[in-house]
Amino acid sequence: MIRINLDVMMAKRKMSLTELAEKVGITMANLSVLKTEKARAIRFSTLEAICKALDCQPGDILEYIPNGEK
Amino acid sequence: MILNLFGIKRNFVADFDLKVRLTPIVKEIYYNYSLSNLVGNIHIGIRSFWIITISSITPVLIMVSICYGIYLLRKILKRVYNGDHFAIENVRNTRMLAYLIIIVPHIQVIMQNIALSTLPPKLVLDGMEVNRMNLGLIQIFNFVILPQYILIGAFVFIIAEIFKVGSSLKEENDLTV
Repeated sequence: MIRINLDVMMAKRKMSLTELAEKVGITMANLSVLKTEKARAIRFSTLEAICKALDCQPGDILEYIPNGEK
Repeated sequence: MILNLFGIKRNFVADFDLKVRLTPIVKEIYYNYSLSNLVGNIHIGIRSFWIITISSITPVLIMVSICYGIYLLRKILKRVYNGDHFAIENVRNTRMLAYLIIIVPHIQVIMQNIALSTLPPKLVLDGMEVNRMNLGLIQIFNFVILPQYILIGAFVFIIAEIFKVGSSLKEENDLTV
């Protein structure tokens, strides 16, 4: 599975969900779907915007976890 | 020429002075009878409790099924007009509609055939033979296959599957950030 470490990066950058949603240009609901790992897919444009807003790499947000591990 | 037998209580009088006397009538049911290629209705009195029960319950079941079908169709149309084409409820309702379209006419005809099977296959009226007509295109004893309803039901089933695929695509699109 793919784990989303968005909350970790947001905490590191001391950025709220509202602020990030404004900077990225997506709705709070969509950002919440991504944060709670309910999203089925993420667009490259969204990933690029998040990386730009949080000043990080895609690998800092997305992490591969082999099945069975938590 | 169409054979018309008009039931007047216990006597049936045709155009050609055909008279039939039957046993006292408890419950009256219409069945189709044929005379060579001529088709008409004969009015027959039946005393069997089960036939009376079947003939009384079947129309109620059919009516309830039709009302439920209209209710399902109304729900589907309402969602479609509200722009919620690919709601998962539409898939369930369309499937149920397909089941109704296939099953209900078969139940109706099977019930009719069960009732019909208690009647003699041939009637001889004043030297003229009147044959009982079969209900349903393909019939094995009382079981029938009505291809037209199976085709319509299958078509509605395909629509249900399209709704299902649309529903999963919509969900995937909604969960794409």
